[in-house]
Amino acid sequence: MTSAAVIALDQVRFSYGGRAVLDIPQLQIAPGSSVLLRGASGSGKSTLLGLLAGVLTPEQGEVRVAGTPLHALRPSARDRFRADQLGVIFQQFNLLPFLSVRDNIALGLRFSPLRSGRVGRPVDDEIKRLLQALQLPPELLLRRAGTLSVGQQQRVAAARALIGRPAVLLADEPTSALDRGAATAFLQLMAAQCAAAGTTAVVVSHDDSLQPLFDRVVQLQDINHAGAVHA
Amino acid sequence: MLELAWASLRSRALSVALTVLVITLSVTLLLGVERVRVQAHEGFASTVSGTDLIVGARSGPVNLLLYSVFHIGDPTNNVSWQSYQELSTLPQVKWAVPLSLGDSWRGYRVIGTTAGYFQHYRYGAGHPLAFAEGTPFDDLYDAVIGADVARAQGVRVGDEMILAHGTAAVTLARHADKPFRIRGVLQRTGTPVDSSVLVSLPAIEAIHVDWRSGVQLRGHAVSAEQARHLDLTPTSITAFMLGLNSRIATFSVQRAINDYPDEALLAILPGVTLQQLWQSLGTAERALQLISAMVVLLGLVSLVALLVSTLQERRREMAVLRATGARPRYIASLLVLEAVATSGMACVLALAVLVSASLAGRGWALANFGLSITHVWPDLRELAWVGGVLLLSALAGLVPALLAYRRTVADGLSAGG
Repeated sequence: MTSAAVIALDQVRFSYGGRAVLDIPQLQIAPGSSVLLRGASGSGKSTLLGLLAGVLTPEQGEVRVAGTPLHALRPSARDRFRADQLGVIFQQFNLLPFLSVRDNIALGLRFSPLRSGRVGRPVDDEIKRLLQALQLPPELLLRRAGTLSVGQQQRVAAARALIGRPAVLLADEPTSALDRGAATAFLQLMAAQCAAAGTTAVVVSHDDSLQPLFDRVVQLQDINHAGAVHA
Repeated sequence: MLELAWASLRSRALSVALTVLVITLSVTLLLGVERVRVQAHEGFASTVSGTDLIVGARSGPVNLLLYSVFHIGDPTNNVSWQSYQELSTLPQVKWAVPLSLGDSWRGYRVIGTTAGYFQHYRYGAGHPLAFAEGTPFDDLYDAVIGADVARAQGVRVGDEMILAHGTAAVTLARHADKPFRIRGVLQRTGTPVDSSVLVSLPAIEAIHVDWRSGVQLRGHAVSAEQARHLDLTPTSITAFMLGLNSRIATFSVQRAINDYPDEALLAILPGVTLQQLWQSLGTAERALQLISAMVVLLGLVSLVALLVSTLQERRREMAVLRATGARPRYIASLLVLEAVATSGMACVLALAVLVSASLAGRGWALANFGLSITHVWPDLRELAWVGGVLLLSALAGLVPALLAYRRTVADGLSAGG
């Protein structure tokens, strides 16, 4: 494990109800890189994201993200870590439908003074910048998030995940609800913003056609020994 | 957190509005019942005010109160005129008003008394009796009637009335030879006075002058005019009310009367005995309170139902909040806050309804029930009830909050499925 890695897993085991889901001896991801995590459904991708997000804790082994030993932290400290260092994008339903686009993006800063401090300028200016950078029309700012199209919602979710320059962005099938063209455009915009912010992106997808957009592709079955037994 | 809870509630405006309505109604009912109860109690406790002692033949205090003030039941014995004379001239006594019961008119009790009754009888917060029409009795055969009697029987000043002997609703023995004329009608008081017929003490004597043992003596009839020339001093009365110069003397005068050597008498403090009587009626009161408390509980159950029913669809919102670093405790607090905000709105509405209903119903209650609504604005006691409701709704919000707490931990970050 090198100190240079932003994500480092060491001898991590995790099981659900006695069934081993993950057994990852080593995984290291370099800072600022973009990684496509591939794997069949049920292969433990979401579990791995859960470990990286500090929502799940490994039975054994060490999980370090942005230098934080998640396996050794109490739940409240992991919540704070998530607020400070992480951006998360789900497959769908990323927003609170009753809040405006502006408030949804600002939600990314709500639980972290540290992250608010990293913005370094008036929050509304930063929100407008992100909106523009993600090619969303500025008049959406005060619209209720529930009224946006799915594609727009995913971009707003990206803005929320990226505001305040988190160390790591975790995205779980962020483009599965989009068509091919929209998916590519979305990932390109997201990657550009990650690069600008120095954020490491870990994206889960089973869409092979997206591979060229990433620095690195990780097949989960290659690193996960728990899966290998059954394969 | 507040604006988040508010936005979330607004997004479910209809179901929240319905829940607010249910809780508003239940809290209004609770506070309304409570208010009516307190007012009724106050009104009841001040059926007789300003009277320090009520004296009658020795029986039970509640019994004496019932027949002398509420005209319910009959006295076991009378008080001799001589005792009344002696006791009413005690140095501590400021005024004495005799009461002579036993006759009726169309089921309403007739009270033989003196003009002092109109002067000294007080009810509520020291209100004196007032005339809606006419004056106190002046002539021997004058009568003054209460507001209910006038309204229910459709009689007014100048009308003639024939009193009946005894207090049974249907009676054949009537004092037909000595008709009375209505001289005055009293304003509504909300007390038993409203259903009373008041005549002078000599009038009671006059109509019984030719009666013995409940029947008129045949062949010895005394006409109404003849009766005027007789000595109409009574030999006994039913009870009397005493006002004292100083309240401090109340207990010593009471003791003196209870120890009166010549006759077995009982003196009661009307306020104390009214309180005893109210407590014996307390079961109905408590039942009413219990029912309205149950209704509030139902309202709160509907609140829990609202929150729990939305929990499933809000799972995604919670996952989003978790993903942005919200602690489970924050999410739980959010739900509790929503619950408290919902019932808070309902409580404010309920208080508004209560105050406006009290303002609007004031005149009506006074005219129809003689109930004077003395408090309109919420008092401490009512605010305490509201505080209790808010506390309970916070507890009610805790149910979905704990469910959400457990779910957000178990669900992890998996949103959307």
